Amino acid sequence: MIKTVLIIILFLLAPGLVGCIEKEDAKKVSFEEKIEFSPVAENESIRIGVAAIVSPEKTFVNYQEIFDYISEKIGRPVKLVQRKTYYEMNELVKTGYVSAAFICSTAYVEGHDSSGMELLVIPVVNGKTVYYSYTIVATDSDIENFEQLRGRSFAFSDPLSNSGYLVPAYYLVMINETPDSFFKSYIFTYSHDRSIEVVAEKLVDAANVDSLIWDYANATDPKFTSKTKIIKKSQQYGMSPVVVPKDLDPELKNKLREVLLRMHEDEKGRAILSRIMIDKFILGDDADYNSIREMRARVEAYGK
Amino acid sequence: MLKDTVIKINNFIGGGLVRKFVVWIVVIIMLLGALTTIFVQISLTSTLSEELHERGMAISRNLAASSTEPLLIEDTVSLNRLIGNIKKTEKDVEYIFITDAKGKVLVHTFNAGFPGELLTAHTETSSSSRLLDTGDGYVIDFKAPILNGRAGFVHIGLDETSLNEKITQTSRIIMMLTFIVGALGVFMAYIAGDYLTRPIRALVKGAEEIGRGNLGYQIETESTDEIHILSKAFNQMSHNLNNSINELRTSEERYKKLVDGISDAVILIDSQKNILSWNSAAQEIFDYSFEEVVGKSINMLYSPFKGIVTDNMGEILDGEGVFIKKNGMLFPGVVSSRPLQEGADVGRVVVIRDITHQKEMKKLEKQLLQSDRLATIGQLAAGVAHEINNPLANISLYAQMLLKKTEDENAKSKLKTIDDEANRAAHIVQGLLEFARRSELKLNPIDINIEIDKVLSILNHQFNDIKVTTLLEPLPLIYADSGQIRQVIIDILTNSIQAITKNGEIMIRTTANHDHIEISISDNGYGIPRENMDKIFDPFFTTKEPGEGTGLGLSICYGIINRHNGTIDVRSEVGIGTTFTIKLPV
Repeated sequence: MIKTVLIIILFLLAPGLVGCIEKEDAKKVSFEEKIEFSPVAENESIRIGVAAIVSPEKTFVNYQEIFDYISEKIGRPVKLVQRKTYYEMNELVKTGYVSAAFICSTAYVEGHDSSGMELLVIPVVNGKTVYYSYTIVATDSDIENFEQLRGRSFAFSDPLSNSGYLVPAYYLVMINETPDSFFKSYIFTYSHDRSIEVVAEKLVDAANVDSLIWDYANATDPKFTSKTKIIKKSQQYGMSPVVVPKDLDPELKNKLREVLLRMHEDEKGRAILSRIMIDKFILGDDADYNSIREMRARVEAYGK
Repeated sequence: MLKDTVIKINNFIGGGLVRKFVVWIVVIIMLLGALTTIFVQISLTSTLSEELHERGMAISRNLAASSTEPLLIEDTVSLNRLIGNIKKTEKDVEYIFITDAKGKVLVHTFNAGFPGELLTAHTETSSSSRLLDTGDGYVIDFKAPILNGRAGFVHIGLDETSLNEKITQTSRIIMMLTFIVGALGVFMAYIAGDYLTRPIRALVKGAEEIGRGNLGYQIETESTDEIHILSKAFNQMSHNLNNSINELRTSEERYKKLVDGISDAVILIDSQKNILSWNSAAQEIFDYSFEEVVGKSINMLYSPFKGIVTDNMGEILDGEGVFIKKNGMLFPGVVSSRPLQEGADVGRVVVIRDITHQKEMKKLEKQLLQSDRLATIGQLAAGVAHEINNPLANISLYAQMLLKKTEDENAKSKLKTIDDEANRAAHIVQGLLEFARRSELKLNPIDINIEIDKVLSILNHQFNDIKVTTLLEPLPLIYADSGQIRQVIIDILTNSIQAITKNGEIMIRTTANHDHIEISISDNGYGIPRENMDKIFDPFFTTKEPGEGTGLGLSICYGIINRHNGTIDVRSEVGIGTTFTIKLPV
């Protein structure tokens, strides 16, 4: 009888004995030792902002190389600073948080007129220093002109965008309409690539976008642009510039301007520029933005 | 090999079939349970690990995607809120932290400060996972790059504990089930085993019954399976066995009666000559009970003095022998034996016939014949002697008268011869008369040993080189005619002396028995040929040259001993010697 009990106990234990299954090789990490981080960024670097003309992801991908190049040329680390809206970026320029910024034409007009923001350089794209605003709809859309957008949904990019907001707003003012009265609904995407995307995905019926952005996307990655078509092209406007705060250290200002203006002269700089379809940088003229100033005045005046 | 192991295990288990059945069932259930547990644990571990892994990767990738913009626009608050929400809503999330491309931690969920070692624990730059041992438990660190790592990395630590808990819990349930099934298995196996082994136990009982001698025992079965067939076969066997045994018994009894019906002793011996069995006649003849002889050597039945049990080869000799009864009495018997099996030494059947009766009959017949003949001869001789005595006396008387009257020497010599011859004839006639009991016995109490000594002293000078040995036991006095007894001894000794040719030896021996005394006289002379044995006591029978003996010596001895109511026997073999044995009643 004892023998029977022993045997049974042995077999009862057997399932329990297999409980331990080998762990894969685990790295030992102690959670005991804590470290502290200073929340403040290092001061020796200079910050250069890029407004969300395209989405921060795209901007990051496209501009990081230029920044690394600038950093190498001026011998100081350069930090890319982005914000969701043009307004935020304009504020960073005004307060001097960024030493320079790539911003939209309208944002420059606003910044220049309100706080003395200065043009540093402007890019030359395809030999031109102007661009347009395209009104785009989905490829298979029945909409053929801007008028037909009445009662449809629409996407603006940023309230401080020229091609993405000011131009369609101006169109509406011309026909005595406001976005609220004309469109069934409208949204702000805060970047042109997202505006192209929402039209391509038919989240909205139409949007106005920067011609450079659409052309660039259409040439490099036509995933969304191929699903859109242009139904209206605006008059030409002054190129989105690189600006500096009013009271930036002249030495840094010159250094930055020098680097950018000479960028196309060396091979590496030219390669970087060609990848983002910029021929070179040239000095800009504030007068080129007067047409925008005019439109802005009309739109603002209509609202009041 | 496997068979041996199973046998060993069965021996170890011990006990009956039911117990073995129960133990095996439990063993099988437990083995299956263990296997299931192992299998479930392995598969569950892999499934759950995979799931956890996929979830970790999904969360980290999603977080990487959704944190890109806040990261790029330095929206730390949004980032913090983002990881905070994920940690709150997702299960098993131990920690989340996001670094920039250079590995600087931007946000994290550690309340008490960021553990520095974590920064270097997982250095892969692609989307991957790494198992970390925090000392408190295992955490899988999932890492997802933001914008291919150029913008930064998301780290999410998923706790493995709940996974292990799930596995442990499932294993525990399976184990519990196994135990329950095992316990039920014991119970059901016991019932099933009891039920299944019932017919086998019935068979065992049947076998025991038959073993106990209850032949013809029948088993009752209800089932219709192999056991039923076996039971039927068993019952048939039992029935047949009973019949066979009964037939055998009848047959045995018949043979026993047959053998017991034989008046001779029939004895069965094994190859070592030990008694296996015998019949009732043997018991009667030898007077031993069967228990006293069984297993003992058959030699005990042979007289150790007279009989030759076996020949040189150790085989039982057929033919006459002398046997001994329990009370020590000897008897003659005829032995015949046959092997139990031809050509194999497995034993023999020995048949011994008691021939005492035949022997006595034959002897009596012979003695009767002898006495008759001698009596007839005696009467004839007495008549003749009586008639011849007077003429012989006259012849002698007249011869002597003439002898006195004549002077002629020649006549004298011839008359003397007549007288001598007449006297010799008278002497023979006297001998004849003695033989024919014509002379009176003068009975006195005598000691035979003394008479023998006297004879030896008289004959001393005749022995010459013959060596005479005496072995004389003290004897009781008997009534006998000393002169006649002496004459008998002298006659026999004289015969012996004459029979001896060289290196003679004579042995005289006396023994006392309860009703008689015995005198034996042996010599190593030339012996008596078999054909003469019956005639040696006849008057005038002699092997000597005519004139050398009358042939009356042994006849007279016979007559003397006969008159003393004794017997005289002779045994002789040519070339070896002769023994005369005289028995005289006390």
